[in-house]
Amino acid sequence: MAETLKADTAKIVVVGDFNPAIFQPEWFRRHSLLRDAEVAAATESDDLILSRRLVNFETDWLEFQVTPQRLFAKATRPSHFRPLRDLVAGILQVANDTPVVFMGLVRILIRGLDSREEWHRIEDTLVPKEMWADSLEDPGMLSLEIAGVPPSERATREVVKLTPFGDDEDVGLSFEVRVEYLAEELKQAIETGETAAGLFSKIITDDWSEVSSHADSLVADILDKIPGDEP
Amino acid sequence: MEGTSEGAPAPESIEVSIFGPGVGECSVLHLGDGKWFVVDSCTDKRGDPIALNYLRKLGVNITEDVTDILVTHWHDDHIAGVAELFEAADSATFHCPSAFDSRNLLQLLSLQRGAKISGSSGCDELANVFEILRERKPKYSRTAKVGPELVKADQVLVRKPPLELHALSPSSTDITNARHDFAELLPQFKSPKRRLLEWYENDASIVLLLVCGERSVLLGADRETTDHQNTGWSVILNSSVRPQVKAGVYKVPHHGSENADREEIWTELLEKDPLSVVAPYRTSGLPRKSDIKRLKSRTTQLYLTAPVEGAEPSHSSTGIDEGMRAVARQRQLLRSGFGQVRVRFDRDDDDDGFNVACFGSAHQI
Amino acid sequence: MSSLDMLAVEHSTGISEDWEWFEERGPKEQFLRELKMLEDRLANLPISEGSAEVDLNQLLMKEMERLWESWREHSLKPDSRPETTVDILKEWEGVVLTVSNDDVQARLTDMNDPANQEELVTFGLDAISPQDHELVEPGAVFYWTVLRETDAFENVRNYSQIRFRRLPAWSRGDLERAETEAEQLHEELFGGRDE
Repeated sequence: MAETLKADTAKIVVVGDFNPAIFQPEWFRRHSLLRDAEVAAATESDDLILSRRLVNFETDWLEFQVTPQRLFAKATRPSHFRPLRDLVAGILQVANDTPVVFMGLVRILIRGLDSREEWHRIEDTLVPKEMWADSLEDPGMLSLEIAGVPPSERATREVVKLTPFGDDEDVGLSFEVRVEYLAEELKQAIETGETAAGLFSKIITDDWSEVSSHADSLVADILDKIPGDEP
Repeated sequence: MEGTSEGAPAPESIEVSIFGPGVGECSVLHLGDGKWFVVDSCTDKRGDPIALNYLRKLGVNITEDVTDILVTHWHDDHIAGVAELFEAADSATFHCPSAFDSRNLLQLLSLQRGAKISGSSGCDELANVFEILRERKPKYSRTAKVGPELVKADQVLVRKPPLELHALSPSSTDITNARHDFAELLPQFKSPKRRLLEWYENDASIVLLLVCGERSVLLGADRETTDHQNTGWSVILNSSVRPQVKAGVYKVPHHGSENADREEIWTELLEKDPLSVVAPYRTSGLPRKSDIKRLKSRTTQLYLTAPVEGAEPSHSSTGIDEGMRAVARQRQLLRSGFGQVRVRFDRDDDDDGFNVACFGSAHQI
Repeated sequence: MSSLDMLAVEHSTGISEDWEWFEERGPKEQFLRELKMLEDRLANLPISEGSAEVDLNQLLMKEMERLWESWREHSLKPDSRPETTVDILKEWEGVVLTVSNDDVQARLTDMNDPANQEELVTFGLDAISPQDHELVEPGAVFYWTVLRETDAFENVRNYSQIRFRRLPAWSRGDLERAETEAEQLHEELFGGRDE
């Protein structure tokens, strides 16, 4: 297989009860969570939305968004995955009393493939067409989602979503590897005096490296198992 | 395990092995009859506690025969890997300086551990040791003592005639000062989070004197000199309670630095021309050339456990070195060239001199 | 079950599409423009406490949902990326040991393989972004990433980036929690006696 890494991003999503209006770029400057130049870039960016129900901004490496139900941060460069980890962990430390219920640590790896044949081989291996051929004309896999035991013991589960994409020129696969945490299941630890947000903050710092490298090895492992060209 | 000796000592053979990988140091003492006392801890390049690997290599039953572990002070370079060692040494007593019962120190440990500032540090090691002590508390007893043995000057830690192990420090003033230092190190509200580094005074560290009949070994920890009579080396030199013997083997304090050296140590506490061992501390570039020159003027038997400068790193991908060279003015491996200086002597034969041997990168200068 | 719990269940089961809401699924600028208009519209509505607030949120979410639906038809293909690819060769975590004049001395730990040896390095302050200079103190932590950039003509360039870790300052909560923990540990190890 001659797949190439076309894009690699990381996301952290926290579900809870947020007050988006707090999370304006200036707040990040005040708590020293972003560089001054990044705060300035976020403030001047065309993507800036500041309202009571939605805050959205971008910097050269970060996409950030908060709605009343969800906080979302994404690093668009692998060199900034750790800064992303620190940023969200820092937000949850400062906003320690925010009620949070769920967190997802996510890597999205997009692999470009050499040919459409390769793409079909992957489809045929993961979702054999014979299963569908009698009932569906020209079946094709749109996406595949599969859950398993997560690499971290504090996580609830791990979900992998695999989506092929392509046109005549460009074919590839998108792997979303997501490790999910439920505050409800971590309650025992919360009772030790830590808030759920504080606990999520620690988990992000503790687990990120493992979750992230697990995503790398998972993708490599799956691609390894796809049969190569016929001799 | 490369760089260490093989073959356990005979029951009557006393051993003092000083290990130093370039950063950190550890002394492993065989006090006779297969029982071991470990002073401080450091790790090899893989992060494993050197004392643990060494004792395993000798075939020592760690669970039963490591009777004591002592940390002279809590700096990263003297405590790395100590929790893993203590975990394995199930029946060992843990000794530490008397000031370690400070609430402020416990707060510092809790803050540093909770903040997850960077990797593992001396704070984590000590916090983990305290956790192990807590877990070892007998379930049936609410009153059983579980804390570490708190060490202060003029205590006898081991008495196994003809062998005695004495603590020469910390003095009561050292302890008060250390408590004060811990309070000073506590962060203030809104101050930035930083990893705690070891650049503060070492006055409270434990200096040990091993006396065996006519022969003695002085382990100087990181003890430095001060301007005060009740602290530093002065309080040890002035003590009338300490055993009035002169040591023939000397673990040079604080990696041979000038501020840990005094003429009187060599005249009052040491035999003439003692066998002296320095464990380098690359982070501070210790010992400096001037330190080696000074120490060589004091003794002809000067040993280093490892080269003062670490080897230059080289990575499998040239791109890594190329990328780093563009920025770094100087690079060296922190723990390259690890070695052991081993001294053995017969407990029951006062005429038996010190038999010294070097392993790995250890060498005489 | 509270609404938050329900949300958690929803998110732990069928969340994926919802997450992708903000992903590269079509011309983002247009999406954001429409979102902004929606926000402006909602900003003119009267805001009150309690259930009305919730209704307004729901309204907003519904509208966002509608917007999302309109983007669904777009291709699954991710944004076209520049031909230049950047690979990480090595990631270090560094701790500043000393800062003297313009020299920074630091200890580096290999983040890709922590079993690798630590390095001791000295580099100039000028290697650090002026944006981070205020953070350069002993004990400060930074990331040093060595990268390989390959352009469309397969020219290769190796370079590195240093970025200091930004951690929130010590909070009262941090200090109070540590005090409580220390007191408990002191009680257990030393019987809580005076020092």
